[in-house]
Amino acid sequence: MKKTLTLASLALMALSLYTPSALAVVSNAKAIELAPHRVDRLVALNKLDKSFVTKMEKVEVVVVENQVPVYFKATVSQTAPATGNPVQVQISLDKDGKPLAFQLVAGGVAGPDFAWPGKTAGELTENALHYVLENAATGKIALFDKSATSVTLTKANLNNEAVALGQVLSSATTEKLNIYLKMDGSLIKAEVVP
Amino acid sequence: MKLFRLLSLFYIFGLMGCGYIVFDKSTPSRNLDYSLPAEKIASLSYPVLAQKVFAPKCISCHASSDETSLATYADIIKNKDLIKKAVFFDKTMPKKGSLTEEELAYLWNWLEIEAPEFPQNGDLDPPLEEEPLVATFASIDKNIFQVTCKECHNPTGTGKRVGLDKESLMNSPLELILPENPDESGLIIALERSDDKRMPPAKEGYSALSEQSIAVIRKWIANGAKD
Repeated sequence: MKKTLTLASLALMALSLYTPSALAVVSNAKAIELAPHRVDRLVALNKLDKSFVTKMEKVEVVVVENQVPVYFKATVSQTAPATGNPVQVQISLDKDGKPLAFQLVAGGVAGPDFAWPGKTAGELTENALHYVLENAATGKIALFDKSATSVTLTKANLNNEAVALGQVLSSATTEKLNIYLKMDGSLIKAEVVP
Repeated sequence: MKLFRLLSLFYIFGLMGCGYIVFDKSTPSRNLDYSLPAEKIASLSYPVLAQKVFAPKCISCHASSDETSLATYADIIKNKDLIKKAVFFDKTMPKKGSLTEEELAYLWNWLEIEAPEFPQNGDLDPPLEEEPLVATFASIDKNIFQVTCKECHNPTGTGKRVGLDKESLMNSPLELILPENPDESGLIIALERSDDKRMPPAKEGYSALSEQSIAVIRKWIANGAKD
């Protein structure tokens, strides 16, 4: 009896320590999608170099532990820095996806400037993520919504046409989600590939 | 007899050629009933049409800076025939959304009676009182969001990801409203920016909000966006 009561008390204590507020309200994919929005805002406020929007290449997200109110850390890389060595911007978001802070960090690999002709790289990245968010309840796409780890934007060739390719990776699967967009940001197709 | 039939055919085709018999499908559909009671037609005036049709459905794109401005009565008169053609014949306007049958009836009949500035029945009192735009959410919502933005920012529209109800504005992770900080509020940045991310979007034919409208939204946010 005493043992049962002790166990019950321990269970109650554990429950009281458990805080539902620590659970994310937004998915990993949403956190990734919010990062380009935040970068655009920081550029509009002259707090960040415009090249982060025009030459955005990759957004990675990790869920951090024991750092309330920070829940997500998104790292945004660009293909070519305005000057000097590659630099990334790290954005802290809370569980609702609200931005908390940002900092520039050294890192990333400077690559080719894709010189996106229509939308900016930031907008194309957002649009690729919109596909994931709008199809989050559909089959395998759910894996790329809940457990997305990154999106990488590159140029690709589809039916002899230059297109934008947003590739989303997920910690829940080894497969990749390729999202093809026209240069104006409209969706062409999406496919899950090995 | 043969001559009579031949002449009849010539007569019929002649009438068609002269436009007495029109088979052009671009005319307003005869299935649509634009009729209004005579007393209603007599009450139609520019203020009525401005409030019922031009302000909510046209001005957001055809503001004063636009080539085909519909901002004043003089503008409307100047473009009267274009309006009729675009709305009723070509059906190319409004580009965003559509006019209700009642709005179409008001517009059609007003244009048919030569678009009078004042009602023909002599009643000079405006039928509805306009509420001035003030720095409260209710006023901004009624005078700006509902008129200019809700066409896209609704649950099924292209702007569905960005809700413009008060709760969505205040809680959005996009930080659309930062109380007491209009300069960094996403809503103000979106309205004031000059690139292709400006709202309402120029690429879809919308004019920017007027400076006065933006100033009122700024004031509402600067006051804490409480009301």
